[in-house]
Amino acid sequence: MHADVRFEREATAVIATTVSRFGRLDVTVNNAGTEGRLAPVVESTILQYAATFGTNVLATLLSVKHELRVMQRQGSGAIINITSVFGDKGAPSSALDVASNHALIGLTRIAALGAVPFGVRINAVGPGYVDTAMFARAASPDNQAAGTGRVPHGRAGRPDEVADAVMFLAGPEAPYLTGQTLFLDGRVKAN
Amino acid sequence: MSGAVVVVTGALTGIGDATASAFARRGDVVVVSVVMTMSASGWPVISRTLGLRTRCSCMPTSGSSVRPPR
Repeated sequence: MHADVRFEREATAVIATTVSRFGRLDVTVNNAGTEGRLAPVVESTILQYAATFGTNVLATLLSVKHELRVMQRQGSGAIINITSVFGDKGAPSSALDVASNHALIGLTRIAALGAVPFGVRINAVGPGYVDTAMFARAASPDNQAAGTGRVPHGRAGRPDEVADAVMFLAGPEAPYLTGQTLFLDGRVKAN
Repeated sequence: MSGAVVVVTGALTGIGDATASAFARRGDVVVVSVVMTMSASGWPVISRTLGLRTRCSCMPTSGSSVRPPR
């Protein structure tokens, strides 16, 4: 489905079309996001703020809003928001990415609180360096090597490893887990 | 939980693609939401991992600009 979930009409349509076609909504993974333009606070602009927060925060807020409305009526469901280690760490050259991912974790926590009485769980996954187009776009080959060199595991994560974490949070093995962010960073945050 | 109805946004590449593919392999119904790009052949490429090439059910959009996928 072609949809830009920064726009409420489109975020609503994704959920409405799914429920209309399949009758229910069990799991949603809100992965649409951007690293934005990498810049420190003193170089950040209103347009860069709008672009980064619009994708990382507003799009997730709109998605969660409409997903949760359906899941509340069902009395079940699991929502997983994809954030980043930048939701818990600072990086001077990535001001808006860091700030927006901190907001995303806050959104996950507060949405989870409201969802608990309805039997809906909302969690987040916060990957570190992952071998994706975003990582390639955001860092030069030298910076990628320097970044992964700081990872105790000695390598970037793989997308399928993040998918495994998402499936754990979505599944029956985590019935008491909500409002949490599972950081998947090769132990970077342990340093 | 095979057979669940799953929605994945930003599913064109990377983590979203891998996640959508993992649910699909488990036997779930997976609805992917993407800001679409076209392959060289003119077909939307939905999942590189599963190698799916399919016609998409496209919704009219608000004319928003296309951004690079995550």
